[in-house]
Amino acid sequence: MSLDQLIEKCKENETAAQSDLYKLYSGKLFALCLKYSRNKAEAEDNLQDAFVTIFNKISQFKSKGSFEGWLKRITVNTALQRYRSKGVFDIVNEEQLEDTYVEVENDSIDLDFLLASIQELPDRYRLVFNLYALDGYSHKEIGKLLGISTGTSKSNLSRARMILKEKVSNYQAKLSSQSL
Amino acid sequence: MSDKKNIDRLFQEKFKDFEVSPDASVWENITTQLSPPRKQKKVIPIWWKIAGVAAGLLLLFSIGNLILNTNDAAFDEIIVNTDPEQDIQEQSKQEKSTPVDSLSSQELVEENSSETQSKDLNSLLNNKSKKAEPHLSIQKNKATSLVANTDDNSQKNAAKKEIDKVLAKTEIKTEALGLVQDKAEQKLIDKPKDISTVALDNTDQKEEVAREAELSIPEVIAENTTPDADKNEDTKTHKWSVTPTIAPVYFNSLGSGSSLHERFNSNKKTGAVNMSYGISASYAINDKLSVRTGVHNVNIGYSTNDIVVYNNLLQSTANSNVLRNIKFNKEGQLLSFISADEFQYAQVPGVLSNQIDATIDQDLRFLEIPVELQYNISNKKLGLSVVGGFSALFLNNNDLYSVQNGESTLLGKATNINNMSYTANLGFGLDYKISKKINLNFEPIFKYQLNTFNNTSGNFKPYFFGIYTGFSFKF
Repeated sequence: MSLDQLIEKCKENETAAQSDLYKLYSGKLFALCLKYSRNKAEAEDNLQDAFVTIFNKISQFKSKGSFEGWLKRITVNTALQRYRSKGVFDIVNEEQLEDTYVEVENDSIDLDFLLASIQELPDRYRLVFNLYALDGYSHKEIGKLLGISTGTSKSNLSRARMILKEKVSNYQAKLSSQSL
Repeated sequence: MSDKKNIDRLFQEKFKDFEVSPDASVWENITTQLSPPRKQKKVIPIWWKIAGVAAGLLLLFSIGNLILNTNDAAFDEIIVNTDPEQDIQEQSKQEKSTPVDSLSSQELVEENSSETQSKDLNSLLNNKSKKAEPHLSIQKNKATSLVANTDDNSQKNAAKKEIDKVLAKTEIKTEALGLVQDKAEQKLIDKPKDISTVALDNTDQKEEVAREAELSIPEVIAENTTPDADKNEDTKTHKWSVTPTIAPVYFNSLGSGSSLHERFNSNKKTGAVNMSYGISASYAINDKLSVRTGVHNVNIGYSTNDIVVYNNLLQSTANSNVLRNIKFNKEGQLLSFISADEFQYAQVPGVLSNQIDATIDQDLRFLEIPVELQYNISNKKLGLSVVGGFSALFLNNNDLYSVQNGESTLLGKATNINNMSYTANLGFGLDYKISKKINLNFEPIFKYQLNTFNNTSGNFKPYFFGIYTGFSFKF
């Protein structure tokens, strides 16, 4: 069955098709949720809400763009919605920091560690870093999504990078000290 | 091997093919969330509407049936009232006081022996011989009229006996009529005094005929010759009518305000079309003017569109967003609402559209008691009238829902709706007269709500508009 056929069946609310669609995309979307959430439980809640939205709104999907892109946008939006209640975001220093480089041992860094690092970031830093660095949103788009200025978005991104760099450096230092 | 990398690239590369399978419980939760809200939201209202229409039709037919079946009795009474009472009383007394029927009949015939009256009798008889059936019905009418009149004089027992007699006689007469008629005619003309020699049945008939002649020949002739007379009587006496109505009702606001909060003043409002059904009774003061009242169940609802709904994480943020006119339930307290306008809707990219198309739906149900005057402009087969008046609305049900992505969540109740309020009503009516007693009505009526909502913001001027349709039954 092609993807288009699967989508059509989902539009007709066929449970089997919905189940297939879930099996097909839940892995990717759950990973996305994990990056945007503080922890696994929150990510599961997001994934659940996102799929409910997807199945309820699938009839509105016009096969123009990429279906996966559409699924990801809904998932990201669901994740953002959780934090939007802080609508008036705190005012932060908008100074910009330089691009941050970090020295890494190839393949030495555990993915779980990186995920944990992201999840431990303050909410806004995590969202901005995910949106900009990992999912390709521009600062202008992020500003609109989160209701902040592009300057704030850039500043948040810099701070997120700083924190992450420090964590990665510490991690590597720890690793090398262990291996010695 | 060491490598200097941009931190973004490090994460990008690592997360490139990042996939994690969620717990099975997530899918279970999704399936439980998927099916029920749809069924509840979409299927039940349709059934309610169908059930409402069915109930309306049932009511309509049962009332119609009831009224149609009782028509004959009502008709007879109408004739009774127009009969000359005195003569009938005398007549019944005569019949009672004379032991031998033939004697009284002789007397009667003697009394009626003037030429003109015998002519009338002839014409009457001719008439009857041609139309035996109409004659019979007239006889029956007379019989019932006797009951009514004697009742008035508290001679019930006597009257009942007489009626039995008369009915028995009329039965015999109808059989004998054809045979006896010619003879009777002859005898009436040639030898009026020999009537007593005819058989008992015959004399009875003559007595009856003579009585009729004396009493109400003009009337009988009038009935026989001018069928329009009935009509006049009908329209004069059908002062009351009952109308079960059913109407699609559309609710909206004339101004751009909001009953919920001033932040939604400029949001687009969408009125919902609901059903109103009920029954009204009308009394005609004269040909032109009638006054009416009734009881209607009316549902109204509308949606405030373009709302951003989001979950609150902290109680403090929830409080800052509470809408003052809503008493939230537990679930509603967890949500905050802002207008998409505040969110610079126009500039928001498409990715956000699934969040800002939420609506707040308000469902209200009232018991409506209208008091209206109806003025007939045209009283033809297709009549036209103007309707104006007031309605009292009694609040019955009051719910607010947040609807997003096809899911609706009960938020709570609005606190700014009066338990009793009024509307000013204006409209016009078209009625098609199916028969003398049944009209098909079609009445578009505009109802402006005077004080249904307190504490509204902006220019919120609610109204509802219904097209009230129903059959009215006159009696």
